[in-house]
Amino acid sequence: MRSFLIKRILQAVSVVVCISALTFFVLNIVPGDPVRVMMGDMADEATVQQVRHTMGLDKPIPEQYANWFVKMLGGDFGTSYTQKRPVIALLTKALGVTLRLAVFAYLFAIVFGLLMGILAAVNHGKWLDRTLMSVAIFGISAPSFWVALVLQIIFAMTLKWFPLSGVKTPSAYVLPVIALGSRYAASIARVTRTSMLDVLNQDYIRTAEAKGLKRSAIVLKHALRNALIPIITIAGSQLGDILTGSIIIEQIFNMNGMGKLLIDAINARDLPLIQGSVMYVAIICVVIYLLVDILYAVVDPRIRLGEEASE
Amino acid sequence: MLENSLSRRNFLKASGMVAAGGGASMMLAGCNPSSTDTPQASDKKKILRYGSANSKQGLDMQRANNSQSACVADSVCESLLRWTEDNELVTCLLKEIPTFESDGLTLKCELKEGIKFHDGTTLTAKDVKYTFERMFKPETKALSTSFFDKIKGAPEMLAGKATELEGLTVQDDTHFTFTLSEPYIVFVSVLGISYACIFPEKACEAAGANWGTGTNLIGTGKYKIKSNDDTTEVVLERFDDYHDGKPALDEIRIHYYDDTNTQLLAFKNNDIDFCDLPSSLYQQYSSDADVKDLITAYQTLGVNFINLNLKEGLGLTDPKVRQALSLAINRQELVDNIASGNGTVASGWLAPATPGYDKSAPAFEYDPEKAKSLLAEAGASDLKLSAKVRKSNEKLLVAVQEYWSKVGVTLDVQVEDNAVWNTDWAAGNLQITTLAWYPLFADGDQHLYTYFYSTNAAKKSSFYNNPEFDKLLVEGRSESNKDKRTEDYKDADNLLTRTDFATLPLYWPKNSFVAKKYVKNAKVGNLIYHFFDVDIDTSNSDYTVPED
Repeated sequence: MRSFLIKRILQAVSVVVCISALTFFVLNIVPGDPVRVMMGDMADEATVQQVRHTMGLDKPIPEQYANWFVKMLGGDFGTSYTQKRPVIALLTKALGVTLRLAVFAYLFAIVFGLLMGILAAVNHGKWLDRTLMSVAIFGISAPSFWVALVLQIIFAMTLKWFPLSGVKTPSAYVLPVIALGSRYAASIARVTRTSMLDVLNQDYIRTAEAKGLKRSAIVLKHALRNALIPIITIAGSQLGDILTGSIIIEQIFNMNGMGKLLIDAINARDLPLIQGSVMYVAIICVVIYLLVDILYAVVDPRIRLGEEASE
Repeated sequence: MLENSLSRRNFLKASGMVAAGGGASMMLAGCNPSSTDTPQASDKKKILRYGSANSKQGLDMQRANNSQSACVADSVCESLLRWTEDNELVTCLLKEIPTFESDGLTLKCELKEGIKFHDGTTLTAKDVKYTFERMFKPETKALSTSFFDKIKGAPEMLAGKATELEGLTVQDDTHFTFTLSEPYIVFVSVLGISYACIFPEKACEAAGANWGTGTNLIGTGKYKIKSNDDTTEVVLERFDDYHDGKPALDEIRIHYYDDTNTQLLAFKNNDIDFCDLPSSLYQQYSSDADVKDLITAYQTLGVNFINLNLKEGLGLTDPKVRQALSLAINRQELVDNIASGNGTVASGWLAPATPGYDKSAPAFEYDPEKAKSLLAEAGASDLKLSAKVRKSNEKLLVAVQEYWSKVGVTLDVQVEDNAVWNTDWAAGNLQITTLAWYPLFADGDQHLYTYFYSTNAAKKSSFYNNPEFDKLLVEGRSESNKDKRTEDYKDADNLLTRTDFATLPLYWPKNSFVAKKYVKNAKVGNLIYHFFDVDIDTSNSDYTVPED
């Protein structure tokens, strides 16, 4: 298990370093001048050149990368061109909003997804199964921006139960969490149902039933654990998506999270901020996939032993 | 471990907690008490809630260059002079509008006495000197120095070769003098723009790089910053020691919305009282029964136009071809269909409120037959052109593509990302493009020189270079006779748009805002929403004091 862990962690670190270099050089090749975007159409050429000089953007790209990389190792991601504040401070602030939104949306997705999937599987072919799966198909098909607008119109504007937008109160998170989490809940529900049905048809489940075990114990203790691998795979990849893909929800509900920060940075060619945000996304994805791999090995020892045997 | 966490008891407990949490949130949100005490209209606090996009550039107008920042900053800080919503230059911190001495270079100024900053300190000429010197220090990274770099010694400071601004001398607490390096009559006008806000030396120095963020912005304005989280909301409160009368409002809450749809929904939902109505949503809301009567359209100083690249070899060097392209466009249809009626067909470059606007000039003609014959005369009957535009201008140029195809001109339209377009535009790579050009204040020099003076046109994919036009603009910069100056700009405009057809002005756009009926004196001069005169009619039954 130790060698498995060390191998996976080294892979993760090298991926992050490669992404940092790749991002920096690609961003500097992409057409579009950050100074011109920042200064707008009205800027005159002399001021553009003067600002470019004071920002150090007239230095050779390898020199800019070396400066950036050394500072990054010390935790300094530079200063945003447009917002003129340290990137790390902007990331931290935005991360707070995104984390709250993502964690609650994820919990919502896991709880409701598992619940719906298990209920559908144990009621296979009955009205509850058909109803829950119809709801799940609707959840997957409905675009999140549409769900968000419908929730806003019904619960914020008509019933006035929740704020329309913003993050001032805890209740402001309810609608964005549902809008963001419903799609993921639906897909977890479908995978859970399929996986549970496979397992529930296995011989050992019939044996457990024949031995007179309680239905709930069979479903939650014996069937669910064995059905977890595909669920963990999809739930793991969804965590990455939720953390990095909440841009539309953040925009509609006026939440200044990571997604919004990254899109603004790309539009403005704010290179330090893009670089910082990309590093954030990369680190999140790498860490999540690392954890998923470790979780696989914990849940299914064949994966761990298989890797060790092949060495 | 997994078995434990997924036991039925834990599973049900977790589900129950989520449901209970959701229910509690719903109850909390649903039970928001509304005020039960109804104060008399006159006792009601006047709180204006304004919705705006967040520029994220901060509120230091030396380091920000957008109208959203200026909207907040101009309520907090003031310049020596002020441009009103009616495009008039009036005094603000200065006793009177200064005029240049006979040398055309020296400008003596006198501050009003006893003006207080929000921190209680008194404004002196030293603060003025400090503010301008800060602007030119390279470490400030100011974005709009070009408006002020005619002050003697400014280029040296910008280059880091001097630490003091030679052309700004202080005589005493209220008297100071600007000395310019060359005659520039427009300098008096730029003293009224947002970039010339005066800061208190001590507070600004103490805040350092944080000036303009959080509550680190102190000025002499009608309103002072109460709170500012930089991302979602800024709250301003009235400044009781304001030097020019009592502020009308008790509080202004500026709520930031990045999504214009959400902002308008917030307006409908009574979360805000006043906000911009972007042209992209105009049609939708002008037919919305709840909103249509609350819309106000106003004429801006800008112009929407087609930029032609006059560089050799691009097929646009012949004025006849350019005139034909102009004649082929039905501008009224563009105003009606593309701008939803929000615009006036242009008759020149300068909009009606700008000195130099030619009242006698008729709107640009639409005559496709004449266009065809001019193209034939010029031997350009099968002209092929290529255009690159930003997404926001695509619709306009696709309409133009259709008009030009009717006279035999093929136009290929490509959409570019803003950053790429900006780089191409400045590099002179665009054969045809379209954009809107807005001056900061109503002045011919601001509007014409910045785009079409030969050295500027070469950096904007235009390459217009007519010595006669340049001469008129240079004369206008030093002409102290207002009428003569106005004539210079009128002649320059006619030369540019009617003789040379160097650019194709389409229409002068109108912008719109929405304001609740109880918001009084809501007015916009030139894109910046100011709250100088805005008040709230507390007797209007629709107005309720917003909760904290």
